[in-house]
Amino acid sequence: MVVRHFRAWWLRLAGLFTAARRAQDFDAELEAHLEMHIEHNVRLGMTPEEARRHALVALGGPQVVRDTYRDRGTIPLIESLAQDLRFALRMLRKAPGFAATATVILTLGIGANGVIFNFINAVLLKPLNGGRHAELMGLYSGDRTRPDAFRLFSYPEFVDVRSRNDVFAELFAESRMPAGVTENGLTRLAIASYVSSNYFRALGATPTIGRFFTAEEERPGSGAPVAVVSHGYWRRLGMPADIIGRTLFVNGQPLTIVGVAPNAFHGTLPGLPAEFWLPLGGASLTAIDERFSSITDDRSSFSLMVLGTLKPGVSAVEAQARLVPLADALEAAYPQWNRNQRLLVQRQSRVNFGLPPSGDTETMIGAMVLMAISGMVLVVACLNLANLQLARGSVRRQEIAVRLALGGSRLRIVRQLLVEGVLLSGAAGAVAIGVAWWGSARISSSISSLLQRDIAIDTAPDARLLMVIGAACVLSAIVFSLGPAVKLSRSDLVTAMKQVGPLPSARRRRVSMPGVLVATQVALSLALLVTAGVFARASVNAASSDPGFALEGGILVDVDAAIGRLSEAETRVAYARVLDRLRALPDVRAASAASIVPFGPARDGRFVRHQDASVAATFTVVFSQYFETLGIPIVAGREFTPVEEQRITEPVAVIDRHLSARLFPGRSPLGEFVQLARGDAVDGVPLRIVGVVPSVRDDILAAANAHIYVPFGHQFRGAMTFHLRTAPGLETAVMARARGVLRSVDGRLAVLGVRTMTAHRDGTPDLFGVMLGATLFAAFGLIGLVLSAAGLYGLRAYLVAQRTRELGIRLALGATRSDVVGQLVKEGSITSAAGIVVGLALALALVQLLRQSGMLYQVSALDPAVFALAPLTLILATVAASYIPARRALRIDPSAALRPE
Amino acid sequence: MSRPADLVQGTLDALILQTLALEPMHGLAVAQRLRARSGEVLNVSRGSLYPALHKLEHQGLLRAEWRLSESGKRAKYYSLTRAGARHLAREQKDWQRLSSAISMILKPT
Repeated sequence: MVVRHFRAWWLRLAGLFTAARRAQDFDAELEAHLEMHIEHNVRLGMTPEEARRHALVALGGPQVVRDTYRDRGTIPLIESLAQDLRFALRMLRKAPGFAATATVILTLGIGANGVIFNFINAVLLKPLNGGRHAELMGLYSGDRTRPDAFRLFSYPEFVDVRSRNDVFAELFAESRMPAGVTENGLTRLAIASYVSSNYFRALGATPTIGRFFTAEEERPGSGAPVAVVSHGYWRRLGMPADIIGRTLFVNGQPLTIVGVAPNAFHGTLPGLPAEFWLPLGGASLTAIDERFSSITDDRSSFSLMVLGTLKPGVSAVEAQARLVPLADALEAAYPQWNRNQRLLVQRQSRVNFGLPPSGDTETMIGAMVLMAISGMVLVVACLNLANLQLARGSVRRQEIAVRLALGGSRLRIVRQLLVEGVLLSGAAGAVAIGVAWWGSARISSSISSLLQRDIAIDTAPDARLLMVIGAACVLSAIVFSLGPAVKLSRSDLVTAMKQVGPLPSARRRRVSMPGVLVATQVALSLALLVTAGVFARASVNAASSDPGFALEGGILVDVDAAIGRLSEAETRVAYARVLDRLRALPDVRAASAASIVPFGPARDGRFVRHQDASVAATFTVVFSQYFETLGIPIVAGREFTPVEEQRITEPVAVIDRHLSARLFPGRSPLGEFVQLARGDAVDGVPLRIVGVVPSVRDDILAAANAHIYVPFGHQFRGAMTFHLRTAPGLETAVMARARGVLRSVDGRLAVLGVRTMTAHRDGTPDLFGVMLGATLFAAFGLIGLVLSAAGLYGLRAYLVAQRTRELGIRLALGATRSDVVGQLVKEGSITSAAGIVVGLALALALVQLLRQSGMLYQVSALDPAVFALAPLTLILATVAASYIPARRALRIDPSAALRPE
Repeated sequence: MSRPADLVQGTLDALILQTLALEPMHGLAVAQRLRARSGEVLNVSRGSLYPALHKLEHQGLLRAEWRLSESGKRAKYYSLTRAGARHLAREQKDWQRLSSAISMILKPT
């Protein structure tokens, strides 16, 4: 039975291709049939004409037979789908304006989602390192008595775990560090990674050319002067075949390049892969920061992240359980360092590296919220199109009615309209793929220019993007076609064919489908506009609220003497001379230097203790004139002196009001002593407080916090940022002169970057995030606003046009034009008011949700400006959308309006 | 006259199979034979006949070939396949059961 069905199906399928030949065959058969029948009739005594006529009648009309035959001959669904497609194309060609509008609307909707999805796809979904990244596990050492206390691993500890565990297929160690790389006499900042020798093997990478590291090179203290460079670095050099053996200067040390990593190798942190890899043994040679120079054989120096891949069939939970005895053994053997330490295994994040362990769940949720918001744009677009389809339907109602009357099935007509929808959304989807690629590439390139580094985000469209866009096309086609299609195919045949509009006042429903569609669009657009508004507010707040220091005319020059291998004494001399020269430059009002820049990525914190009180504060090492250069007024006491900048006369400190209020509430801190501490360990001698300054904000999206400043004479730092103050407008000239000064004082001083304070602020990742949010949502909101206003306009224009006669009567009966216009605008406003009420509720919920991200700096959940302006914009747009058609309708002469009856 | 061919879709199929069980014949002959054997009651419209013939051919119950007719014209001859014969036997049994059941009910008591 099954076989027979299959055979029948197969024949039909084959029939698709042999249709022509088979039709001929059938014609021949009918021909033969006719001839024989005529002969037979003649034998019965009819005349030839009579015989022929009888035969034809008996056959039942050759065309009908042929049609029935054809429906059986091929798979009707496929064939009629092709028919639908051809018909849809014809219909759309007949309405090019509609087709173009619909495609543009859908492209906006699908494109907005494509951009967001493609970016999320690149960051969170695409397989990395040939799929290896998904298997990557992070190993963490946590204190079982303090749930949030994690530490890194020491090298001997890592070796113990690597050699004594039975759950990891590979276990490797890594320490990422910013490093100065010198090329053609210029030093730039790059990310380098110290890695164990099995790093590349564990990540499934093979060298493009050359080799990776040996076990000997891994041994701390080996001082192996070798490096592996990224494929991108090699490409920028023009892919020289002789790259192996070339010298690379990292932090002033010459290293020999031994290998090139493969293309598209992401390392352990996909977005920001290292540019150079050095063996762990190289740390003793190249590291200038104590965090990295402490990669030694010492068990007390915790400096390594440890990651690995599990053996087949071992889950993270199981691995963690099987590591308990090992952690116990380490604790027993090295109680000093391993007391209470347990080993945790957790899937390695795609967006975070380091402590504490973090998964991608939060990022995923953020991504989902973003998708949901961009999804609203698509919904608005679909609803808009649904209304367009309905409006067009009133034109097509006749055509559809005729088809129904001629025996077309309703299903077939609905299907026909769906095919038209898919055709439109398909065209939009094709464009949207390009939009998605372009848009996400734009986002990633602006992030890259913000970070001033290459970021490895692969935004090329992949199967996943095509699937999502395809799904968006089909879903939106269903949304915007199905409702109208069902409604139109239900239309009353007789009324429709008579082509007389229904008497509108006769049975007007209070809630109409187009009205609901428009109201929903208004609601969603309002939610989008409010979201855009709060983001814009947040970015304005963040950028304009007083940072506590002057931005205008400020210039920053990042210098690191350690990269050039200057000793402390040499650095002090060089920095003093640099400052002397900078202060002497024309147009420079003040100049200083500091270890930390507000809004910058680097942080340095200490606990500041006074008696029993201990307060966490930002710790900054500064030169004299610092507060003057930053425009921070001295509230009490004094600044540091040029002498304190050079050597310790007496340990002194300046604190800010915030810290003063916490440690010395209600009294002057001048002359009091504080003690610095790191964790539990006291750090240095007590400091006498000589000055008090107002608080500055370290983070652009945070409130001011406590600060303590000590002079350069007290604490040495190789890496400093020089601050200059000039008159606004003169920055460019002064920046060039500052560079010249640094070069002339000591060529070994690595200048890592020169920028204005304003550019520094604008380049803050936090601010960038908020501004990106504001831009994206403003675009979404604007699309929504335009679409819903256009949608309302279309609906009102259509309704008013239908009621021309009624309006004419009312005018004739003595209503004034303004009465009628008022009435019409009021009707339109009811629709949009419903949408605005729902939209406000939606917006409130959305803002609540977004506030939890911490991005909405100083924006209240009910920001009055946003919650007043956004609805007002929509109200104005919708009133205009109702007013214009009403106006236009009334331009007609009442008697003319009555005449067509 | 009613349109018995429309009575039950399967019925026409069974009638065609039964007719062709005697010997291979072309479409016209099938129609004439049906008419004659039913005592001029069944007048199968050719618009139903050919689609049915072709459907049965697709289902593998009939096979068709071009042959010369007794009058020397080329015509498409249909004959029963083995599957067609089996199908016919089943249909006959079904029909007998059904018709005897119906006549038992309709018999005036």
